[in-house]
Amino acid sequence: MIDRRQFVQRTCLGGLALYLDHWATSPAYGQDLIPPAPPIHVNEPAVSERSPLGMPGLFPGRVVEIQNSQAILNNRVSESVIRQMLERALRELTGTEDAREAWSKFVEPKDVVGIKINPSGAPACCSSPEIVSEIVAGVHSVGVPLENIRVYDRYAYEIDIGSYQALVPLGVRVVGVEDRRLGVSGYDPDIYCEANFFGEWETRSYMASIVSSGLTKIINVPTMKDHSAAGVTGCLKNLGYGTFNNVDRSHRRPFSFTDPLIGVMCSVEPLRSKAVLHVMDGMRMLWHGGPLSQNAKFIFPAGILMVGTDPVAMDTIELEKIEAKRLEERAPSVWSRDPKSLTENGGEFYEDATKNLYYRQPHHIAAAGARGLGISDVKRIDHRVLGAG
Amino acid sequence: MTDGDWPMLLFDNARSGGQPPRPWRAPQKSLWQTRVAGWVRSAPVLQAGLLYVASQGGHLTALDARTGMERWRFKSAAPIQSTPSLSAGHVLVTSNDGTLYAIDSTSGAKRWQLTTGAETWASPIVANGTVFFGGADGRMHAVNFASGAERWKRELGGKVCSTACVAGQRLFVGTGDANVFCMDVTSGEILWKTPTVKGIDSSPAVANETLFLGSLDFFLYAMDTTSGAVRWKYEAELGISSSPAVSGNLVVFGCKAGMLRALNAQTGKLVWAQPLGQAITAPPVISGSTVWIQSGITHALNLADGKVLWWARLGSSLQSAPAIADSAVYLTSMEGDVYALA
Repeated sequence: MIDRRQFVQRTCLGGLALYLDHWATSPAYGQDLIPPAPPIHVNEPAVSERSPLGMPGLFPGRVVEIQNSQAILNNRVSESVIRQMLERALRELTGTEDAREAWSKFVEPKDVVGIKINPSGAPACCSSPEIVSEIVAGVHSVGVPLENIRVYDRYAYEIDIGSYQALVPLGVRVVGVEDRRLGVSGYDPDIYCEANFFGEWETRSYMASIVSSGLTKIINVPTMKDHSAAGVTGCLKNLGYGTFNNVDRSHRRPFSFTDPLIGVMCSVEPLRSKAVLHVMDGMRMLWHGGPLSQNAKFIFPAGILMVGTDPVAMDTIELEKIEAKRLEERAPSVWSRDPKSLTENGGEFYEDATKNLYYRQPHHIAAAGARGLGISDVKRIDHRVLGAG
Repeated sequence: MTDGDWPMLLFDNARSGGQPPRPWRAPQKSLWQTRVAGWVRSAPVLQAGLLYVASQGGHLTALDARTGMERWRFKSAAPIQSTPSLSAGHVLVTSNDGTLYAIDSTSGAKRWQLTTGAETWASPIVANGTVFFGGADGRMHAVNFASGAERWKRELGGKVCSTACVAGQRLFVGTGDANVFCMDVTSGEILWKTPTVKGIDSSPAVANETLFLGSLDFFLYAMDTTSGAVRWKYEAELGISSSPAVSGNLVVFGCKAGMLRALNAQTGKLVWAQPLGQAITAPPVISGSTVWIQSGITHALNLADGKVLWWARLGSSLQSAPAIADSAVYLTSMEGDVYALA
C-alpha cells in the first residue's frame, strides 16, 4: 500500500492556483467564500506499471460526439438507433472499420467487465437501459461471456427504480453495492480516501470491492447532468462518487469539496487502471436540478451520445453543453459564485433554475486533469462531432 | 385464513390486492415501530397474529403483530428481495442466490429448501399444492409444496422479475424480454405468449378473465386470459413497474412518472388520475373503498374518485406495498423500519 497524503496535499494546493484566473473575471465568481480543501490521505495498492488502457486511456483528449434526433422520441429511447450511433462513434474513436474490432481495443474474452451506470436520477434521467444493452452486446461480441458482465452502481434501490434487472440480457448480473445505508460490507477496507471536511465522524470513504477485486475492466456510462455541488456530473463524478462510499459528506451547504475529492478518487488504483472506456448518455440532458431532479421542464431530449477514453476531456465538453443550455434558458452559469443565488429550500431549487444549494465546483474537471487523468484545455481536445448520417 | 390475514404480495393469488368492504378510518397513531436487520425492499405479510418481514440482510423476521416484538428470525445465505408468501403453516421465501425456502411459520424452523442457482427477485406463490417462482435465468419453476421437489421448470427467454399469478389452471407471468406468458400450472406448457414492446417487471393481476399487466413500454395492458389477445391498452408517461390492483370495475396502477390512475377495467377509459410527486414502483393496495400506495410518502386515497384521504411521511424511502388488517396497517421502509398504524 502507498500512502499519498503529501502528494494529494500538494496537488490540491497547486490545483487551486489554476482557477484564480477564472474567478478573477467577475465579482459573482469570487473565491473568497470558499474555504480551502483539507488534505486527503489516499491508501491504495502499489502499482508497478500503469495500464495504458487506464485513464486517460488509449485516446487522450479525443471525444467523439454523435447526435440523432430519432434516438429519443416521446421520451422513449430507440435501441436500434442507439446501436448505430454507438457503433459509429466507437469506430471513429478507435479508427477501426468494424465495431467488434473497436470493442476489442478495450476488452478481451478473459475479462470480467463492469458497466458502471448512473441510476441516481431514475426514472427521469439515468443511464438508458437501451445503451447498457448495446454495450453488453458489444462486450459480448468480443467473446466475454455474458456471465462475466456486471451492471453495477452503489445503490440497489436506485437500480430498482431504473428496472435494469429486468432489462439486461440473460446471464448479465446487476449488482447494487450497498444493501443498507452506510453499510460497509460491499467495500474494501484497505483502499480508501481519508479527509475531514466538516468535522464529520466518519472521515474515510472506501472503494467498492467489486471495483477493487471483482472486475478487470470498467465501462463508464454517466449521464449528462447539472450537479448542484459539483457543477456537472459526468464521467469523473460517476466513477469517483459511484465507487467510494460516504461521499455526501464532501458537501455541506453552501460549500462543496467535490473539487478536489472527485479527481482524487478517480486517480486511486485500481479504479484508474480499470476504467477503459466512457460512454456518456446524453439522450436526456438535465440542465438544472441535478443530480436527482425529476422535473421535466429541466430535462431536454438532446439525443446525444459521447464516447472516449479521457474522462476529463469528455466532462469538459459536457460542461460546455450544460453551460450553453443554461445560457439559452437564461439560468446562471454553473461557475457563478453569487450568494444571492443560494437557497436553503430544496423545493425552490428543484423549481427555479436561478437557485442553487451550493457553490458549484465545476473546477473539479480541470483539477482531475492536473492529476493526469486527461485533458481539460478545450483547445487541446480533439472533439469530433458526427451527424445523424 | 381469517379476516385479518394478508398472506402474500397483494393479498391473494390473483394479485387482486382487494379486501372486503370496510369503512374508511384514518390511522390515528403508531401502535409500534421497530427495525429489522438490513434494508427492506419487499412487502410484509400477515397471518395468525404474526407479521413476516424479509430483508436485504438475508433475514426473515417474524414479529408479533400486536407488539412488534420479534418472535423468531431465520437467516438465509443471501439477501432477500422478494415478498414472502404464507400457506398451510409455512412461509415461502426466495433469496437472491436462487434458493426457495419453506419455513415453519410458527417456529421459524426450515422445512426444506431448493436451490436453482439463479438470482431470484420474484416472490413465490402457492396454488394447488405447488409453489411457483421465476428467476434471473429466465426459468419458471414449479415445486412440490410438501416436499420441495421440483415438478417442472420452463425456459421463457427473458429474466423473470415479475411475480406470477395463478387463476384456475393457468399461470401468468411477464419477462424482461417484453413477453407475457400463460402456462398450464400442471405441466408448465406455454398456452400463449403475447409480446409488449419493452421488458416487464410488474406483476400481473387477473379479474373477470382479463389479465392486467404493466410494461416498461409505458402501457398498461388488458389481455384475454384464454387467448392472450390485447383487449385494450392505456399509455402512461413513463414505464410501469408497479403491479396493478383490481377491485370491482376499477383497475388501479401507478407509473414511474408518479401518477396513480384508476381505469375502467372493461374499457380502459380513465376514471381518475392523481399525481403523487415521486416515482411509483410499489403496487397499490385496495382495501374496501380505499387505495393505499407508497411512493416515498404513504398515501390513502378514495377508490371512487382518487382524492387523497390521508398521507404520512414515515420514512425516507417507502416503496413497498402495505399489509392491511382489521386492526392495523403494516408498512416497511427501505431502511428496515416496520410500522403498525391504527
